[in-house]
Amino acid sequence: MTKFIKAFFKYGLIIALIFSVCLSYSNFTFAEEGQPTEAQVKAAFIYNFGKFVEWPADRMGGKYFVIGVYNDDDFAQVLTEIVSGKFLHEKPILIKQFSRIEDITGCHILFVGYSAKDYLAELLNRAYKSPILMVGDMQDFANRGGMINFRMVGNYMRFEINVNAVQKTGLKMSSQLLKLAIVIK
Amino acid sequence: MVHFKDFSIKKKVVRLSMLVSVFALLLTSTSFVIYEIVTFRDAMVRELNIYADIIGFNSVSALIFDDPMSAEATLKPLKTKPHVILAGIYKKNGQIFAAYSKDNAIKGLHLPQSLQIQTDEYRFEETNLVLFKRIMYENEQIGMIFIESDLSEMWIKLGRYAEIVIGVLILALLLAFLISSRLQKMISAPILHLVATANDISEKRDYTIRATVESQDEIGTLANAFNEMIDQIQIRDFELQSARNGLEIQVKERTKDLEQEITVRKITEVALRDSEDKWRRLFEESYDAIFVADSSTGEILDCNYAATALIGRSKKELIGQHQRILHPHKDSVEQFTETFQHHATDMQDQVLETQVITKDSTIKDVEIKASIINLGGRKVIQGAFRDITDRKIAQEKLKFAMEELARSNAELQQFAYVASHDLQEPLRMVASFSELLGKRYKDKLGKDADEFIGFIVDGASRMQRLINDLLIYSRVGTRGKPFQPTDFSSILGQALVNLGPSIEENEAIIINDDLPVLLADEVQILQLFQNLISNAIKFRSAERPVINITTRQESDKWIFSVRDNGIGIASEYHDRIFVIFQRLHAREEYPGTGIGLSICKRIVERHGGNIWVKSEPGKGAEIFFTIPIQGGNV
Repeated sequence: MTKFIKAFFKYGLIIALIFSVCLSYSNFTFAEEGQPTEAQVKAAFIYNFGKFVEWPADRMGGKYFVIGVYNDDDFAQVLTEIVSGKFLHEKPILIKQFSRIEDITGCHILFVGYSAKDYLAELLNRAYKSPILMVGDMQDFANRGGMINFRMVGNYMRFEINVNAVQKTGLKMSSQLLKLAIVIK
Repeated sequence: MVHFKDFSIKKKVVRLSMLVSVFALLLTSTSFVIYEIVTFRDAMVRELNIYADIIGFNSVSALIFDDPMSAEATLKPLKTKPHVILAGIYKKNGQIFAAYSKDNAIKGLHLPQSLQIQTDEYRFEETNLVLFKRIMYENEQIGMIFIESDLSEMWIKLGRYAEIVIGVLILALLLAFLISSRLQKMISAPILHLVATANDISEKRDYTIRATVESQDEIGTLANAFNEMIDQIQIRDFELQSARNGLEIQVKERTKDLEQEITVRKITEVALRDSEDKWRRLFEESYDAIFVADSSTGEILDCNYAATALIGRSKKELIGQHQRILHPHKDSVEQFTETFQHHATDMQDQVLETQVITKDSTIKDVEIKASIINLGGRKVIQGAFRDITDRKIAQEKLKFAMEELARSNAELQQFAYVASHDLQEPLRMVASFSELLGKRYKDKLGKDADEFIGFIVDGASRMQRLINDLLIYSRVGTRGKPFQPTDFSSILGQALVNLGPSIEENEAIIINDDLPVLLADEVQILQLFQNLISNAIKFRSAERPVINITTRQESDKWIFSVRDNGIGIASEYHDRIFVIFQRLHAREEYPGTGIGLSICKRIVERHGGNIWVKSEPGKGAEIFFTIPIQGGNV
């Protein structure tokens, strides 16, 4: 009996393996073909960061959860695709693109690419006030006062968190997130 | 091997109590162990669930941000739980994400590389408990946790339990044995005492012994009942003893009675044998042939010597045969039996005349007197046969002689009638011519001639009367008329008219009853009355004649009586007066032919009656005659 069960389990596992591999291609949320692109991974990370961060109650009065993208139309495009139909903190997500710093307002997360490296101080200043969770993709972003920064470790996409910067904004960040992050002080 | 039910009560009590304690203990232990297993399993499942929850919660971000290193870190603390041998975190698509193995050398050996199960569940395998748990985040499944736990801990625990149970069991058995060994005496001792008492009683046959009653429980009741039973047995024993003594006396008395009875019986037997001998001799020596036959089957059972002589067969040839062989009739057995039965039942004690056939086919006439007797419960018919062959021959001869006589008598009567009738004619001639001679030649032929002629005339007239009477006499037999209803009163009247002159002359007084009407020949009855009345007048005494005619009925006949007060008849002549030509007196004293009463006798006899006289000399005479009611023989 047990022999039979074992055999069943063994072959069942093999079949399940093959089956799940097949599934993984069709079901993959990120990609249409093969592995997800770096932009897609980053977009998904940004969406997921939203889950582990708490904004002050007065910032959660609006109808949408707004993610802003500064000066990066391509990424905004990818992000829109990734979050389409999804919710954060029970609100539909709205992607806003900003090309000017003065326009940046009313968003919960702001992604700044490499192009923003010269205006960091001004951007961060705005972010601390609002507060906005600023996610950057450039070297030393966290060291320079940015809250979360993407960084590749081997083949894995990782991220840095500047705990002081986060505390300064008054946003509450889950330890779960911190646990995964490369913490910068 | 001794069966349990044959054990002594002592043993039974001890074993029963031990058995009960063992069972109770086993039951308790078993339920305890089962409870333990169930509880342990539940606890294990609960524990693994908690682990899965913690790990799941801690690996949410790792899963979300695709950080297997972090996920593995969440699995690391399982090291403190030695029974958890395998654990794994799987991605939403079922692919392995992070793995843990208690022993690194066999890492991933049993851990599935992908999971199909997407629900919370657990199952107990041979020695392991396997648990699957979903990792949820914001109501969304983001992965699965797999934990496999070794159950050997449970089995070790159970083994320890078993050891304890066995230990306790042995201890309990010992205790139960010790306690019941002591306590069994409470139950077995009174019973053993009862048994010993019963054995004592049955061995010594001493019914005065009693069991002591020590308790008021069922055994006490039993002992009481036992004692009561012994009481009764004692009473019965005593009664039996006295009955036996009484019986001995009775037996003695009865023996004495029996001896007397036997003596009496012996005497009776001797008497019976004598009687039997007598009967046997009577039976064997009887002149009559005697047959004894079964009344229903007709089988001959016995016969005597005379019987063998009669039939000409030996006893051997006769006994056992059907009695039909005695008779010449050729009837079938059934017909014979029927006839025979008829005779046996209806004609019992009547004499049956029949025939028998001898061995040499000679037919003999016999007269059988049969009677049915009971012989040892069987109905038998005993028949005494008398050989009447000789008598029959004699009877035949007699009959022939009688017929001959009657014929000659008739011839004689005819002759007498013819003779007397034919005699009348010449006689009348002699009488009338001698009378004429007397008248014409009176005193002419001399005195002597007249006297002689007178003698002739007288003789002729007497002869005429004689012939007349003879004619009447013979006519009674030959010229009788057929019988008709006849009024005897009117016939008597006519007779008195005919006798009128004689009655008047003698001044006779006639007294008569009313007479009946009977079948008779009226001419002859007239003659009868005339003769009797004229005789009564004729033989009158000096007194005036008184004649009484009476009658009375007696059974089937009428008795008539004609009584007078005449001279009477001496008894020695009573028979003679009815014989023809017999006279008691001289013709000169009383005229008559001596035929009158003979005619009367013949008439009465022709009517089937009798006539006789009752008389003494000087005291009158009474003549009786009878006429049957239905008339006489024709």
